[in-house]
Amino acid sequence: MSLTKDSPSWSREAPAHGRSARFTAPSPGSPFAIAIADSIEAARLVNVWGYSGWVDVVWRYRRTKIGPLWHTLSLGAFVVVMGTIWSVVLDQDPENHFRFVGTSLIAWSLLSYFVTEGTHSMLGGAPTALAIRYPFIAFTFLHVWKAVLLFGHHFILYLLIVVGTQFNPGLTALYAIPGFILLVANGVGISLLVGMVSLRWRDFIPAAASAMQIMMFVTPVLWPKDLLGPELAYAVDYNPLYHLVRIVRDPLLGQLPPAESWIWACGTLVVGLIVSFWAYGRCRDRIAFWY
Amino acid sequence: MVSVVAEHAWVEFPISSRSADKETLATIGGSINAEENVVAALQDVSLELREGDRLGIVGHNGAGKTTMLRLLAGVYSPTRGRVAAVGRISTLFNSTPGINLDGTGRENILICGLHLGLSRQEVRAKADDIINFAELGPYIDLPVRTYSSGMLMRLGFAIATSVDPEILILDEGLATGDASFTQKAQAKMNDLIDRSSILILASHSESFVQSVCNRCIVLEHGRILGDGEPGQLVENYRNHVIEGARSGGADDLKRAYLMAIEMANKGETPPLELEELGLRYALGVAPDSLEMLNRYKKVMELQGKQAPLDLEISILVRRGEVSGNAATVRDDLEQMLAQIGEERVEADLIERAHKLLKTG
Repeated sequence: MSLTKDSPSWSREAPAHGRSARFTAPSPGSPFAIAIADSIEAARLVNVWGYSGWVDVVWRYRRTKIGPLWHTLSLGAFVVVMGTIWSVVLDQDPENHFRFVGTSLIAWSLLSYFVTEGTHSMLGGAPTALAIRYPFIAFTFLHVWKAVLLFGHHFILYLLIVVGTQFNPGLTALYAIPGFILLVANGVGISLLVGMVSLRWRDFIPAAASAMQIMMFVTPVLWPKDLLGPELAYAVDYNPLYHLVRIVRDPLLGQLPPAESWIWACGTLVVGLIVSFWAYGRCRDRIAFWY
Repeated sequence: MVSVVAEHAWVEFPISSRSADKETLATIGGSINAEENVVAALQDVSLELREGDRLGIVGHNGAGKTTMLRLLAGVYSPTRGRVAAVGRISTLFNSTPGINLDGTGRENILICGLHLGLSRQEVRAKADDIINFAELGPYIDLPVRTYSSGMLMRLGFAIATSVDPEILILDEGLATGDASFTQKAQAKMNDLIDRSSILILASHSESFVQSVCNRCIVLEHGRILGDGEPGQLVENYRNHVIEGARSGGADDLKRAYLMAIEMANKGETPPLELEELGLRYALGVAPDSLEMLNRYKKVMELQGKQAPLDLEISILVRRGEVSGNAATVRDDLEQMLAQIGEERVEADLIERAHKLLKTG
């Protein structure tokens, strides 16, 4: 019980309002120190980006009937068409191939969301970034969170495929959980880097979209890797995107991803985080000027 | 201890050498360094603010006021020098942090409140006040996309002012709308100003700065021209505007007009020269106002200046036209017209004069 009865409600004893109780600009410290300090601050803002991401998914489809399920529906239509046609073209067992394409595309859509939509992750934060001192990395967290939410919608499709084709992946499917976590962690580095580069060089935005489209056909997501034949198949193993898809897809199809895929995924995670955090730390004080 | 300190801070924007020719950029504001391809929006800013300081920033468009506010809020980092602040900061600029046009007003209150550092419970507790203050009525449950710009402004203002900050940074020029809201906003702002430890305010209204602030900075082309007690500085600034307007810049003339109007509204008497320049602008907009023409002549006389011939003629023509009786002004007008020699009088005006004489 407060004794200062006459102290007005706004007095200094009132709970802390307003953002960032102190700052020094330019930010002091090495690039990594700056990036880590901002990550910690961004993590503390979990209630801000957590809620923003949630309502953004809801708001975007406000005037539609089935909302974010449109994503699931369009992906589902794509899977049905691709699964049917390509199983004939590639002379594959229809049921198997349908399941393969569906699961592949679900994993791929998460990965490609990090890049194609990641181009707007920093840009979209303009009203906030130009009004208060804000850790830009929180925009990346927001983006990754939205990607996870959309993946949740896509996962419904996976369940439908599993039930529809009467397929039991067994306990191996649980390996998809660490795989998914590793893929999302990779997504932080990817989105951060893509977000900064697209903010600085806007030409990168359409370039990223076409690059990902091409990558979808280069990476074995619509066709199994062995179709390339023994001479070419090894080339695919140097495509990091392939391994990132694999660590989620294979367990869901009841197969254990090979050790090299886990190593690749951990490798890209370390490299991705080092590169993006270093770049972020170097540019932190310039980012506001790029809006 | 709440404080804001800037030490030799510079803000330089990169420009592409291809983007625009430098002549154009030079007239906009800031200062251009062609060799390094940068616009120095702020140059060598040093200042120190302690608890109780109320800083007003004046200067004309493009002088660097908004950049200065963003620098002190920590949005822009100085490209040279250093800025440091201790204390919870809230800002009121042209964008509300976190606003999303697809959300309803009510949802945006929560999301913007969270961005400004309030907790969910705090936002819930304040939501009704915000809604009442913004006068949105049933619109509060419609998407913000459907709002008029005035409604959007009111909502943003109500949210931004619901936070109780230690350091308050305001772009005062934005708090405009319909008259009754402006009055309410002013009251709310004064309340907020009273509660914050440090106030930083950029304003077009020198009188407002004078009445609220205890310290004032005059910015021009990104440099601090003067820093000190508002009364003296505002005085100097007014003289500076008069000087600019005398040399005939259209923009400066308008500033002189606005400044004179504002002083008159506050019950102060504008200096005669300021009034003269202001009237010159007003007559450019409404050249036929007899009242203003007479006042202009009076102001000229009071200053011991010779009113220009075209002014005399236009007064006589206007008087004749208004009364519908050319006889009263005929003699004077004929005499004036006879005097036209070297002096430049608009052909349009002469035509009107002759037409008037014929009717008599």
